Order: sequence, then C-alpha cells, then structure tokens
Amino acid sequence: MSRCLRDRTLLLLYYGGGTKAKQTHLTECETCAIRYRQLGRDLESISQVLREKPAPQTVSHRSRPAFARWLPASAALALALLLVWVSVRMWNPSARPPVRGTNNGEAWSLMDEFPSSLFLLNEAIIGDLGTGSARSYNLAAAVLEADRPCEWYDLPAMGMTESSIEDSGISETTPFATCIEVNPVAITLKPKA
Amino acid sequence: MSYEALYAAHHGEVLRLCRLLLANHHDAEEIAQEVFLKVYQQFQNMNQNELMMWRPWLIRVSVNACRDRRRSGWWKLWRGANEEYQEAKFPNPSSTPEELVLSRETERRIWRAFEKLSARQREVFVLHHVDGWSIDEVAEMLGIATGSVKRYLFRAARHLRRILGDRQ
Repeated sequence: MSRCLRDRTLLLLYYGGGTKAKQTHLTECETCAIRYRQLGRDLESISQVLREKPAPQTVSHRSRPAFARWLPASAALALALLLVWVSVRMWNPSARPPVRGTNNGEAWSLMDEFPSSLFLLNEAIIGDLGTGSARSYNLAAAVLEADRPCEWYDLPAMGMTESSIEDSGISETTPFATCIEVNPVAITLKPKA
Repeated sequence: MSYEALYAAHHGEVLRLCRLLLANHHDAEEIAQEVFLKVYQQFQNMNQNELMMWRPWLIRVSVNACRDRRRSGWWKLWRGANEEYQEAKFPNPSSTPEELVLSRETERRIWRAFEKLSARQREVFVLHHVDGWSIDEVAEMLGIATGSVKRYLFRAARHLRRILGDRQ
C-alpha cells in the first residue's frame, strides 16, 4: 500500500486533477477516502456560510481610513501656512535671514556692541597719516582704552605674570596709557616653570 | 418573458453575487441596480422573438460591474481597513450560547478569509461552489481557460480550508 495522499493532492483530485495512480489510491485507501469526504464537507460548509449567512456588516463601512479623513485638512493647513509665510516674506523685505551657525539675536547684539570708538580711531589715523609718528598709535590706544578696560588682557590665561612682562623689556614708560600691547612676533614669552 | 418577470427571477441572485464579490451590502445594491438598468436597455434593444440565455449574461455583466467597482481608486480608499464587524443579525434560537459564539466566530473567520481571496479566486469560488455552475460554465462566463478555473479554485479552497483548519 502506497503512502497516504497529501491535502494538496486531495484538493487537486477534488477539482478533477491528479494522476490516475492517485485516483486509484483514493478508492483503495480508507484514510484518504475519509479525508477526501471531510474536504468535501468543509467546502460545502464554507459555501453554505457564504450562501446563507448574511455578510457581517461593517459598522463604519462608509468611513474612510484616518489618513484619508485628515489628508484634505492637513493639506489645506499646510497651504495656508505656506501662503502666510510667503506673504510675510513679500511684504516685509527688511526681514533679515538668520546668520548661519549663530543665534540671530546674538548676531545683532554683537553688531550693537561694535565699538563706535573704532570710527573715531579711523578718523584719528587718517588725520595723522602724514606724520608717521607714534602719536597716532598713542591716540588709538587711548581711544580704545575708553571702551576696553585692562581686564581685556587676561595675563594668567596667556601664561604670563607681571614679572615676565617686565623681563620682556617693556618699561612702565611705554606710551600706552594703562594697557600693554604685546607684539607676539617681536617678543617671545616663556611661561614660568 | 417580461422585464418584471426577469427582475423577479434574478434580482436576488445578482444581489447575492454582488454582495459576495464586493463584501458590502450597499455597494452590492448599487451594482445590482446598474446591472438591471443594463438589462432594461438590452431588453428594449433586442428583438422580442429572440431567445436569450439571461442567466449567464446577467452573471457576466454582474461580475464585470463588480470588478469595475473594485478597480476604482476611491472605492479602495473609501473601504477603510479599520472596519469592525457587527454581530450577526439573525441568531439561531435553537443553539446554545456556546454554540452560537462558536458558529459566529467560524462565520466571521470564513468571511474574513473569503475577503482576503483575490478578485478572480473569489469570482470563481462563488460561481462554482455557491451558485453551482460547473467548471466549464465558469470558464466560459469569465472568458478564461478551464485549467485556470481549476487553479483559482484550488488556491481559494486551500486558503479557506486553512482557516477552518486553524479553528479545529
């Protein structure tokens, strides 16, 4: 006796397919014959449900999926926002684009802090251009000094002390009012060990 | 045969077929109305002495109309995936509550599995198993080969049986 038929083969036989040998097996094997009859009953019960029982009505068969319901509203809102933005841009040309890498407000406060003394300095230099003397530099230092106190030079952070400045040959009579301008090229300062 | 007699004889069958193919009662009613409008037009145009096999013609027109409805893009959108099933409206009073729950559950599973069949599998299964047409007749009505009908039937039946198998 050959092996029993698979479900797939039984189904093929049910719809008139399968080989002659399989059909013969079906008539000889009691187990397969029972399974074949069960298959027929299953299909008949399925057909009966489809034929006689009403299809389960859906509660909200006319309702669209959530994304379909919200799609028009979202599109309208996005369009309205876009129109508002475009109109603001068109009617307010003074709107400045933000500076890349910084906060917009930060950039403008920086501009406000820009020392007006620099313009004074510029005028002083132009006025003294012909002489070439150190007077203009003194004047420049004095003008700058008005805006920038000496804390500007953070000596400990630069690895310098008061004595190292003295060692560097800069005397107290250096014609800078209170601040010291250190020329990084001319003077090499070594931090204390 | 008058139009009224034709309507009375076949409207129920057409409605059931549309309901099975669309799985929606309201759409099925609409399509059945469309089909009988076509019947009416055909009825007026044809020669009164002409004999016509109305039943296969009605089935073919209904299947095509349902297919057109399913293909329409809005229909897919309209029929949301978030639908819930209602309870059966006509419970069998002779059943015990347990049997009732089980049979309801089985019916629901069968319907759900049936709705997952492809359009062609559904058409073929309904015409052969529910309406009782032979495989050759189904092939002729749908305009496909007999082998194709068997293949669709095989796949549909295997899918539906798997659902029943899970239940057991």
